[in-house]
Amino acid sequence: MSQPSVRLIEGVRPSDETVSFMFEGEKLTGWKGEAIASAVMRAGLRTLRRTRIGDEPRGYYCGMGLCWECAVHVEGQGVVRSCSEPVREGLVISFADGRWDK
Amino acid sequence: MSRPVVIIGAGPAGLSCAWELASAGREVVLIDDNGMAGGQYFRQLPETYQVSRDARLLRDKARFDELAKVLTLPGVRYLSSTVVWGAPGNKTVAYAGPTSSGRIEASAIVIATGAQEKSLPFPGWTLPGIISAGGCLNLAKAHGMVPTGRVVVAGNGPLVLVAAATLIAAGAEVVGVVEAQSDIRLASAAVSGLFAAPGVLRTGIGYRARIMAARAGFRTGWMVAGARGKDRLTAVGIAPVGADGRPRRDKQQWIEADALVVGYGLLPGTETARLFGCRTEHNPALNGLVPWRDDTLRTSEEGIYAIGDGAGIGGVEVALLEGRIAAHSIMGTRAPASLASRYRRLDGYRRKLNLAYRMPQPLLAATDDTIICRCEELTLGRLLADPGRGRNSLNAVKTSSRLGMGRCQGRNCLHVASSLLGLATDDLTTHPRARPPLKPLAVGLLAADKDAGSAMEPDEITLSE
Amino acid sequence: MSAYPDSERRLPSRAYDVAVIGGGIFGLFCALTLADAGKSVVVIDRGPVWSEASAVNAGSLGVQNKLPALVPYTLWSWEIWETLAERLGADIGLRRDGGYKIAMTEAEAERLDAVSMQQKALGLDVRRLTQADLRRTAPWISSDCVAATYSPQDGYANPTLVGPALRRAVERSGVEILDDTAVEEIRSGDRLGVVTRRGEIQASKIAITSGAWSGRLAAMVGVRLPISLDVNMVSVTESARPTIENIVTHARGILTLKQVANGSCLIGGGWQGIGTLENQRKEVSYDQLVHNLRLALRVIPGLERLNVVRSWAGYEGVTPDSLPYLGLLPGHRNIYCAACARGGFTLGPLMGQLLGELISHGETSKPIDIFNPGRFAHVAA
Repeated sequence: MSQPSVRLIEGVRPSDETVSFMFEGEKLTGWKGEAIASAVMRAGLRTLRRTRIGDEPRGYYCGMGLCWECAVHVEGQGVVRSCSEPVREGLVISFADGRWDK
Repeated sequence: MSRPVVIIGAGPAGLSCAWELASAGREVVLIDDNGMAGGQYFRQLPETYQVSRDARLLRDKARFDELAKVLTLPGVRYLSSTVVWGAPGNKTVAYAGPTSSGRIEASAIVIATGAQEKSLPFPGWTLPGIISAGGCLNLAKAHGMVPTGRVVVAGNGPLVLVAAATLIAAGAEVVGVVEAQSDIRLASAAVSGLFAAPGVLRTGIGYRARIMAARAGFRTGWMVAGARGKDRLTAVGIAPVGADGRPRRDKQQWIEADALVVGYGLLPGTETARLFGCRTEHNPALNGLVPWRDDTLRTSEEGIYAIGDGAGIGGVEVALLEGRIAAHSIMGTRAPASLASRYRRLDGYRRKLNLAYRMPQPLLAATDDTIICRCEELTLGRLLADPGRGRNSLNAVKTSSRLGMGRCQGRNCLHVASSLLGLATDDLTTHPRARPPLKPLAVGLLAADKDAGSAMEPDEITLSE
Repeated sequence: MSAYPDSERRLPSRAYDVAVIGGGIFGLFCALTLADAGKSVVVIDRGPVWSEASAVNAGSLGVQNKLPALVPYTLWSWEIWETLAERLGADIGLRRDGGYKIAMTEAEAERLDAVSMQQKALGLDVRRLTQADLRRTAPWISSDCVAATYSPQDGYANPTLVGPALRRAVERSGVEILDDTAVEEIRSGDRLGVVTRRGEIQASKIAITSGAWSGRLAAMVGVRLPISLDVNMVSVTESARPTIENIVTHARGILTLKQVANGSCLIGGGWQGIGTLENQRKEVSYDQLVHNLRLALRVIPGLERLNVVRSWAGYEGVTPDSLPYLGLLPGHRNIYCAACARGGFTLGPLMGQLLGELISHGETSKPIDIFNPGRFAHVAA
């Protein structure tokens, strides 16, 4: 894992409560109420999705729910936009797409 | 029971319209795709977060808190995380969300669905680390975050400066700001006031001054030509804008960067209006395709109104005023004279601003191997070779190439594809139609529609393919 | 730059052996057959070729969902499909993984039994499955399904890939294609002519292969060809990991469902949208769309969380007995028609080919009597 690609703005205080969840097989920690994308990027991961044909990495892009580049697959919940979906304890999350044959 | 007014979108325009209606005792249903009201401009941090008084976060919280009180007024029903996905009747909306899916027959419909960002594909633009200007603002406003490392901000239009100033205020390391328009008079703080928190202006510094103070290189007349990196962005190539709208690659310079915030302007999001059958027109002063409206902000369809950025880019102040004006039109009451005159002034102003930022030539930075359609992974070369192109029809290209057929439903690519492929943008008959569902929606949520009429099973002999 | 003829270009002044009106799957296969027989051919279409039913149907190549009378034709048409990719030199997304036809009630199960007996007698490979068999072989199908038949002969092709590949092959064979050339009048008699908005085209013979529009064209030469209009809806989901391995149809013909190569699921079944040929509108019926999705969900519960990205509707012309028209128009000796097969995508290659044979040789390799376009001539309107 490389260094975080985002950091908290000075003066913003997230919840003291944390939750843990799995993202692509790694155990990550998020703050209560935090969006999945935010927690993943803080953990130093930039790729939220891999494409179906080219297997290319994609990350947080439009931030307003239109582009679906941040789409992730949440077990039991289907494909959601990680820029708005909050983390919850025990979520098992994986890339939404990626090459099926891999 | 009388039918409510249905407002689609709970951003500045929708909230302000709801406020005016509800305080006059009208019933309102506000349907919002987002989980929290406020739209993009008033995006809020999660309720579990706290912010200290001296936080380096530029936002307009006090005004939002005031506006959001509308949600507690009697007669206002707020459906969050709920999508209006179809137009089953003239003034009926079909909605679906986690709490309920159904239909509402409205006395009037107000479309306040906001803007989307115009994308400008360039080689490497899909790399993680490259985020849109709106995405950057929401990163700060909705997540309390800024990108780490060296950040370049580039594009065209007021959001470039807003994003740069927001990042600098928040302490990010902005190493370059690049605006494609060369007329730097645009970069005044006053000009950007339509789109920004007044708090920023009150500091008396203004965006440009902030950027200068931070010693971020500020260039006008330059654009992004490309991006480098393997699994993440490592460098941004910038070049002067040529007379043909293309980057002058002979003068390209590379800036090492960990993040690129890129925004080439806002476009009205017209899918909802089009699905409701509203006539549209091209208006460069409003930044593109918009629903046609009369002075009361009514569309071509009786009882259907369009307000805010989705009806023409104008920013928060215009949106707030349009919400109130549409409410008066719906109630058949006269808007206060001060409201009308303030709107006339700002409306004239935003039109001038939009035209001033307009590039003489559409900007083009994509090369043949640049992805245009992010969802279906279609490159410019592939699209240029598409047989549908010869028909001068974006819809024909869509049908034969799958352009715009992924989850974004064409919102990332269709608008830019026309100019990249040299297709007529004015001939709307050749554009793809808006189709239900207006946003991707789970089969289960659509099937849960509690108000669907009775089933008419296909004839048994019907054996369709 | 343009791969398509400019629609404003002057019409060719030459006379053709055959003018084919309608560039869907019937018309293009007819043109291909005629060109292979050495005929000079022009295909005339009111829009772009391959833009109506041939293009917007969901691509099933089902054998189990055909009327008994059409079963032999379905198998013959499949012979064309099997080698089509090679013949066209292009990927057409063809798959023949088999399909399930499911029953959700005992009455439907009985019906499955009756139909499958009939189909077996006609030479189809159809196997009756119990609920337990189905659970084992297709666990993704709901346990609400009480019975099913399986045929390894059901399959799928991608209409979006077939169309352009077929068009290229037709053009390579020397056929002229005129898009955006609506036909305004047909001059019958000894000197045949097709009057279009761009001028008149001379031809020795005319083939009407215009799907739902065929009735209007036949009326231009005084022939009543009863055709009613269906407006079939289809919905497509986002791409998902391949799970649904086979096409799924319903004992009563009210559902078709498949997952295609890119991972999208296509959901249809003849649920009706709203539209008429006159107003050119094809709209989704929200009520029926919801019911179509509910049924899909009952049959395959795993669809619940999958996002629908688009729904649409397409025209399909239907004859009174649901069998296609194929042959000479009654009272004419040089104007032919092939149109409106229930299951026209599956049957299209054969129907087009048979019409091409009939026009060029005066006889066909398969019997076509039951498709006589004059069979309803005596029926009052």
